[in-house]
Amino acid sequence: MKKKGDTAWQMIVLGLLAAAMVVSLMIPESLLTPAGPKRVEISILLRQGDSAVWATARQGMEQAAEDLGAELRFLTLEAEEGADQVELLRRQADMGVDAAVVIPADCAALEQQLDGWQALPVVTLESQVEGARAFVGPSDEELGRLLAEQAARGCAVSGEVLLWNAFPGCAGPARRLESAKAALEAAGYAPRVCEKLTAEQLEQADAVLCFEPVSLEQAAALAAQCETPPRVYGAGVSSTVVAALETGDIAAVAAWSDYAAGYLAVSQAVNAARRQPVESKTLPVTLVQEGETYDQDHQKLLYPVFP
Amino acid sequence: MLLRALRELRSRFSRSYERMSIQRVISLTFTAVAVAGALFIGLSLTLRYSAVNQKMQAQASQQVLAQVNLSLDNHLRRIMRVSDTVYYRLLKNADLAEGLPTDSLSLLYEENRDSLVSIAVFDSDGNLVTGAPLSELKAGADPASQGWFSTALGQIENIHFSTPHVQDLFQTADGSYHWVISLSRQVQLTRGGASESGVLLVDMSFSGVEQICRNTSLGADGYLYIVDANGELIYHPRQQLIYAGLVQENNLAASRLSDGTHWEKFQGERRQVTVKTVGYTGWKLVGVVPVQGLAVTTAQFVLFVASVLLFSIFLLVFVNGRLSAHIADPIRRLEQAVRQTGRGGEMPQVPEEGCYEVRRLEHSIRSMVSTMRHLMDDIIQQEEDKRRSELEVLQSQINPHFLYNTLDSVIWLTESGRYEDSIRMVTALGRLFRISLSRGKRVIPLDSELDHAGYYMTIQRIRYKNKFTFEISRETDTAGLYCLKLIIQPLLENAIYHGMAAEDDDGRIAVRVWREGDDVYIDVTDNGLGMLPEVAASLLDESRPLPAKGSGIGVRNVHRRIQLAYGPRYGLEFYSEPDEGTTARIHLPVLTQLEETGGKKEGMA
Repeated sequence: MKKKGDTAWQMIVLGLLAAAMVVSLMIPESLLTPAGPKRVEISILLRQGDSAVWATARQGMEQAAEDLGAELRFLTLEAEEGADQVELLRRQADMGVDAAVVIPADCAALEQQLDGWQALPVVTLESQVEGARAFVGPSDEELGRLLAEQAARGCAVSGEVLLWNAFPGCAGPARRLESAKAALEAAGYAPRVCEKLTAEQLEQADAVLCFEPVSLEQAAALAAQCETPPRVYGAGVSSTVVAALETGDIAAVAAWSDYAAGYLAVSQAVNAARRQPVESKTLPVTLVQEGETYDQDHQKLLYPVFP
Repeated sequence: MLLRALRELRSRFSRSYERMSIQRVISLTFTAVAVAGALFIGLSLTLRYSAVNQKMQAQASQQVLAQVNLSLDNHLRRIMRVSDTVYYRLLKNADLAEGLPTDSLSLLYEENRDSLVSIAVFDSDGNLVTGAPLSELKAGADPASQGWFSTALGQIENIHFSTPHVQDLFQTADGSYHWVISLSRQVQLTRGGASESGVLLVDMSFSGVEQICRNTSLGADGYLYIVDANGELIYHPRQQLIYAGLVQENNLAASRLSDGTHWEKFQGERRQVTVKTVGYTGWKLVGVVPVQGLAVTTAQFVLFVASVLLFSIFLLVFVNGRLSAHIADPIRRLEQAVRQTGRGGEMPQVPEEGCYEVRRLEHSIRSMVSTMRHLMDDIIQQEEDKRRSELEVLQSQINPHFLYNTLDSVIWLTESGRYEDSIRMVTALGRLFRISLSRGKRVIPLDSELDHAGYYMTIQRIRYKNKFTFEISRETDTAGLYCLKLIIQPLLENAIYHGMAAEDDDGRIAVRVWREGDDVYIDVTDNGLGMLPEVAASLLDESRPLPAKGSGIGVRNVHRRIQLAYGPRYGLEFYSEPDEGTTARIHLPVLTQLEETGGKKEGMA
């Protein structure tokens, strides 16, 4: 009797194993493969008028989103108000967004919001902000010094050097400005900081230094209208900046790869959303002077391959 | 250390093996061999499958590369045809002084505008002769300083392909830029009848190459890229990331590889690299498939292999269990039968089953057991016969001895005229013999045995002139019992010879019979000389010589007869003290008639 029971059990186990074998062939591979990391939602908060300037960075962001499984939401401020950006950021947190990449409009307001705020991990571009999980961009001090040195080469010590602080609320450009100012003063120059730039000012200036591409585009455009235009130097590139650099409206640009900046910013945001280690990334800076835009290495930096 | 561990393992295995049933040994052996075989075959198949998979992937990569090469070749040929058309149809036989072929160039451009960015002709100084669709050079543009220009003039027989670069010669209306690959060739221009060198430039759009390569699929994680002969990237799906310095590619090493499939390790990752050279250009298509993508160990494969392995092992265990049981069951039944037979039982009937050898073994064992039984029965019968004959011999030893003595006494009485005593003696002798015969029975009633003792003593008293008295006493519970015949008489004879021979007229011999439980005791006591207790104890010692005189042999005969009949527990005992006399005690089992005829009591030999 016991033997018969044992045989029955053995037959049952055999049947189950045979069924398991058949089922293992029928189960779709996707069910067995562990699902990849969950898609995360990242909001990109741009300033008003940034869209064209950050076009290349956007390509990098989209590439990173594709590689890392993220969904991007590009949001542009309607007014250049830091409070609006903070409010927009708060709303993103309320909507359940996993992380945000912010180009700060007002660093102080953003810092105040991020102080002790854990609702949403934030990665900043252009300006390093206290409380943000990471920052991606060039070294502001190095960039300012590089521009100052370049301006000093093309301008006499007695010459008028204007430092345009177009976005006083942005810490990154402000730091670059401070660095450039210090370097110029150390070299014997007496640079003047202005928050508004006019054609009259340009007429009298020998050199103008801008510290982000939006103001650089505007300065180049203004300088082009001058009878005796000053030499324009700036930080960051856009297609307009590159065109001005080619024509000589801009004397030199401290450039970095916006594509890399966008890619790294989103990848750090994704890491933060997935509670993985996050670190700030400093991008290397290359000085491109007028007429050098088609140098082989500069082409790769200034002209995206897949526009 | 290892040797000792191996020895210990072997010893433990041997001990386990010795305790194992044949079924388990067969089952485990079959299973182990089958599983080892299955694993070996499985491993071989997996390795083979893996190798075939890699080979197939290499073939697939080569096919994909061949397809891309075909598309790229078609694309490049089309551009080259444009270049040929411009040169051979528009420039070679035309005198530029009579008119520029700008319209024809424009038409040609329009026909191929999806692939082309510009067509331009330069003289040997780098001055623009004509072009389409853009005819105005940028300020500061210096074609003569560009690589494609000097290469075309330096190697005049060939069409030259540049690496991708931004087209920087012509003004664009919207300030846009184009990544192009430049085809340049040296051309002969005729101007006012004079021939001069020039350079024909056809800028093809880089996006054309990108479109050909972009949707190429090489396995799950594979990709394709193009390098020129110097290792410069022409196309890469992550070209912008590489330009931005975020990703590296092993393009320099790939440019040195020959066509075919290769293996490389790059940034810690092993990859299958397939290379195919593109005609005319010196470019190389490079297909990269990470080994991880070639692995056959997908989750489904692992699950399938695991379930097949489990099923196979369990099936093997199951089938081998059945098979070994089928082989071993007849042997086990035979072993049980032999064990039962060994315990003294009958050998049970074992059904005839199993293989030939087992059947033969079962037949042989059955035949052997039968033979052994017959032999044992024969031995028992022979032992019985031997004992019986020995008993009969012992009994027969008494008769001539006693008969001689008695007849000697009768002769002596008759000669001396003591006829009354003579008659009494003969009468007693006759009755004594009648009891002795007892129709051949070995066991007689105790009463007859006592009568026999009485008749004997009657004869002996006459012989010894009543020098001693004789009395028999018995307890009532001994009535109706049985005993071996002629066991008291030798003791009486011994008492007479050793106890009474030296006495004067006050000798006394007494026989007392009593019962204790299942035992019957018969004491024959005399008041003769007696002997030391150790001498008495040694009377029955077969190793000691018999006394020269007396019935020593008769006493030993009685003892042996009793022990032969009823076992070593029974027999004679002697109690004696010098000058006090001797008591010979017969110890017998209680025998009834039934027991006498039925055979033996418990414990009997």
